[in-house]
Amino acid sequence: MNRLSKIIGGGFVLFGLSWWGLAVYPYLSFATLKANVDPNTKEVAPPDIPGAAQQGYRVYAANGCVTCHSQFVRDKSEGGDIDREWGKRRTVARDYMKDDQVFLGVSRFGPDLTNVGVRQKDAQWFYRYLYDPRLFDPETTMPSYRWLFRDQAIAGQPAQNALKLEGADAPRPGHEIVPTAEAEALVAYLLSLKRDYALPEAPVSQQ
Amino acid sequence: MSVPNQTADLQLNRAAAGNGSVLRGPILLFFVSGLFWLLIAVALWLLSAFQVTDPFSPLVFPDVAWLTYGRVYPVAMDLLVYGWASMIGVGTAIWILDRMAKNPFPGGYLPLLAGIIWNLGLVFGVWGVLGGGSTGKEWLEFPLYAAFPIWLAEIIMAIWAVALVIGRRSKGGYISQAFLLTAFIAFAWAYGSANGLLQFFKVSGAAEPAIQWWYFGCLISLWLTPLGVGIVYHFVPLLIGRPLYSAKLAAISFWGIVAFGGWTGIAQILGAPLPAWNQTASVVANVLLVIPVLAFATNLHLTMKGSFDVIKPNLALRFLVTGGMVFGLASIWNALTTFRSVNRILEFTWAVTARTDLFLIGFVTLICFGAIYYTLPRLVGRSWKYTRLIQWHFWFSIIALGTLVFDLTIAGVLQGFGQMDPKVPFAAVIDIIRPFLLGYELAAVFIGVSALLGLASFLTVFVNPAWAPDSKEAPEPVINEEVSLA
Ligand code: HEC
Repeated sequence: MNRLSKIIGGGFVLFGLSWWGLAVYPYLSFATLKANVDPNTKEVAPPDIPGAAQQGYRVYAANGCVTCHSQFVRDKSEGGDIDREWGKRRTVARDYMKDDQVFLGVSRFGPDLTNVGVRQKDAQWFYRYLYDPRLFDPETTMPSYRWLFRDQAIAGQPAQNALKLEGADAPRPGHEIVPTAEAEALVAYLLSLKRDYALPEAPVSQQ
Repeated sequence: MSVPNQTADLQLNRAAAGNGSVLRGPILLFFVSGLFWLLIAVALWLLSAFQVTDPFSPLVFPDVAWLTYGRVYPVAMDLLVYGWASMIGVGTAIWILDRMAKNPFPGGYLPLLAGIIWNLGLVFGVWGVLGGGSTGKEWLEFPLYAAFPIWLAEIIMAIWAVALVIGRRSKGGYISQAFLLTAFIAFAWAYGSANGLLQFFKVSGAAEPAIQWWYFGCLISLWLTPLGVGIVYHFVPLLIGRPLYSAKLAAISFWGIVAFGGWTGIAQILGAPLPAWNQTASVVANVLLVIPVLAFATNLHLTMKGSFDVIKPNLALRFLVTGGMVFGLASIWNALTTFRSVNRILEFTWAVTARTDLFLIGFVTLICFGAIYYTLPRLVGRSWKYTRLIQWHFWFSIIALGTLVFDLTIAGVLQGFGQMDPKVPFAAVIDIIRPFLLGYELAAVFIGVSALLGLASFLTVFVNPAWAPDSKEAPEPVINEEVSLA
């Protein structure tokens, strides 16, 4: 037993080192991060996550958006993300400090979403996009998330956030398509994806 | 040396965990479950491949949440790893550890219990992820109520394995024991701490992906790798009736894998907002990992030298040796693609998927089938009759693997160069790879067929004739086919 137990014990120690180095060390070093307060404008970066977006993490996680979408911008030296304008600067640990859940992702079958809230600022756009991505690109490979929406009879006034749909997607007369609570949370979350504030450790790279 | 022929090799042996052992039931439970989950995994994978190619095909159900790609594909991958590869690996490990310990161990109900709990965990996991409870973390999608039973089952297995080895009557230690025990302990720790930190203690911020991808490295390099390597180290000498070529190479492969394995995962997300030294260390670890893997492949090659003609008739060996060699290739390819100059192009592309698939479908799956083809006849007391079927299965596995990996790698390279060029619009990049997505569909069909062939030959063993002892055949060597570490 001696020899074998020494081997297993040694393996355990070696393995423990990687746990410390790659899991515990980042945890401890990120735990001390504080938001950056601009001395002149008193602007806090990163900003707080709006309450409406808090439920959106769960919807994003549950539906595996991460299998096709990443959420980090690499430095110029690491890849072409900045040239492709997925962000003006690389993302750093502080960008994620207020996030309840972080979905970096390893696939870009779809575009990076780090700054999708900078590119699109209109909830209606997101609703229509999730309902039927073909409205924007008939050949798209982004799946439709129609089940995140509800078809309901218009009672009096049309709902404020009813989807503006025409043609084949148009609802039956007297009906409207409205986002469910899940869709509202998801879109609030997507709208909050804006890493366009300045952080001293990640200056905007000059051309 | 007498070269065992196909029948001799595939013959029943009543020694060790054979017929009548208390462990027969648990091992069969793990095998049958593993195959069951493989089928589910492959079916879901196939569905997801059709969905991703054309999101408006009739196989896409935009109104049915639980059948959407973002749920189906992760479940397929999780089942491949935690259902198929892990359960076959554990079942085979029970067989090997029991055999090496040489004494009947009274805890046969522990593996049985573990097998049942493990299956329950997987059922909860499939239910949870399809039902909208996914954590959204790749390879850790199972919600706590599914991850916990799997972890518990793993702990039970780890305790059983350690107790068995401590109480063993055989002297010394063997390389497969070292690998298998390490796998059990490392996985219990890695899976437990990753799920505990992320789901129970709800660590948030950039530490999340750090833990997540540290775990991925452990899953690949300290769970599936040592399981597979341990199985090969045990079975290959047994099948050709000769000891391992070199104890030294075996030791290098062991120490290298435990030293570097845990560091490999972060290289999946280079450029992420994680400490720079973590990322560098991970790239270095992926490169250094080639050393132990090549030590293993070389050892395998030198052990086999002079016996390569046995591969042809001996089907279990064919799966095992091919799997071992694919592992060598996969590891070199893995190291080459983690270099930053290559990674900056291939990161986020299908080539990364292909890299993981090469490991899972090439190395791990081939080894799992090799292990089944060797042990199953001994467990049920029947020999293979329809060896043609097994040959078909082998060749189909290779074709499926080749199609999948070539197709996705080329797609990934094109996708990578496309994305590097800001003048090419994003949608145009997808247009470039569209034909390869069709190739991916085809590969998924091949994988489905090879899984069915595997299942078919698995089932035929039960209708095959019972094995009649034949005096001409050399009895199975008792224990020292491996080299002792002591
Ligand atoms: C099968 C892979 C896949 C999945 C899963 C997926 N997407 Fe997409 N997504 C894409 C692709 C591909 C595009 C780009 C389509 C195009 O340009 O035509 C896209 C585009 C988008 C865009 C527009 C981005 C932009 O900058 O214009 C948003 C927003 C988006 N997806 C959100 C989501 C959300 C939220 C989920 C999860 C509910 C999700 N996606 C799941 C593939 C996917």
